[in-house]
Amino acid sequence: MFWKKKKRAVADERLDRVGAELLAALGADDAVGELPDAAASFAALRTRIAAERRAREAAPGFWDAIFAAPRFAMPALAFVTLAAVGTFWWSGSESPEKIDVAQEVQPPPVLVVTAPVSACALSNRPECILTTGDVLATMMTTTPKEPRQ
Amino acid sequence: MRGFLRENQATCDATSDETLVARFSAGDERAFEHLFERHRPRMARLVNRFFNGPEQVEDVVQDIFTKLYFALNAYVPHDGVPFTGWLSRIAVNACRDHLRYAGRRPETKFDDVNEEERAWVREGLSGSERESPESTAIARDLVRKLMDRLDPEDRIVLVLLDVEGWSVAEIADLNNWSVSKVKVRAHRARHRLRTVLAEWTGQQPVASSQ
Repeated sequence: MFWKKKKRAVADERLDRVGAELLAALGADDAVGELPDAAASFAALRTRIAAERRAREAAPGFWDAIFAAPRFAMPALAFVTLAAVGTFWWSGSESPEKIDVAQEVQPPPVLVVTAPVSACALSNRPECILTTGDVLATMMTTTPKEPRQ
Repeated sequence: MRGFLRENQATCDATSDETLVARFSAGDERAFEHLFERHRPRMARLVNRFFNGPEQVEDVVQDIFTKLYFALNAYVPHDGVPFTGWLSRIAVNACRDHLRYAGRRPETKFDDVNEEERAWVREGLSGSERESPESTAIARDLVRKLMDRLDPEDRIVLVLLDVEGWSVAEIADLNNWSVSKVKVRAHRARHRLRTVLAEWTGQQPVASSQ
């Protein structure tokens, strides 16, 4: 156990040393490569800033968005309302058949359980009812132990 | 424009960042140009720690200065945070965003490490000294592949701590984290480095986690 731990610590130490060597190589790598010269880069930056400014100006502000929502929602709501009223008016011309609710809706049959109900009952069917006595009897029954081989 | 940049270099160097920010806030757009000229090399060096290739570095640097342009009016000089620190915060956040975006389409896989690089790691584990230029070149390529295997957050912590030499408190302040969180992140990043190096050399991955 101790030997394994020590071996792993030595391996980790070596890996850390290689990692540190690699990070040092990254630190020593100051050559960025061939970047465009400052003037060209600044010209490109100007273009980028102008594009960003245009994008920001085009994007709606918070209050604009708040007020824009009802402006777009109201025609849609009016259309939905008109469609609902139209459907109601059209369907109202044909009187639907009257349904005898009392006749149609039957109450569910009442399940009569004759067997005693206990906390251990698993089903409402009489033959499936498990009584407390059954449970106790099962628990108290001792099964003969199998002989050890 | 180049002439203008060179002509104003002397006055640009003499003026403090805070003064240039104040001038920009007053409507002087050239002050921003001075700030760009002054801080671009440092930003490029920092970004180069995280990204490969001049095109990518230039893209991130441009992004940093675009963000700076729109945030510059929010900077309050003499508020306890020097301009360079404030700019570094913008830069690191921009790097984080780009790293996260790049992480969604990973380009470097385990198979990208060639036999020569594996041999380099194995030599390092055996404790042999390496000073040759070839060895340095291999290390430079390898460290980038190694960094690509880390989470953006872990990578930022490790680079700032071990490469850029920032203190734990500075990194905590930059990310609005606690000092403990920075330490845990650094520990996790180093553990991840060990695991990847062990994988590359065909060793048993390191079992201990935290």
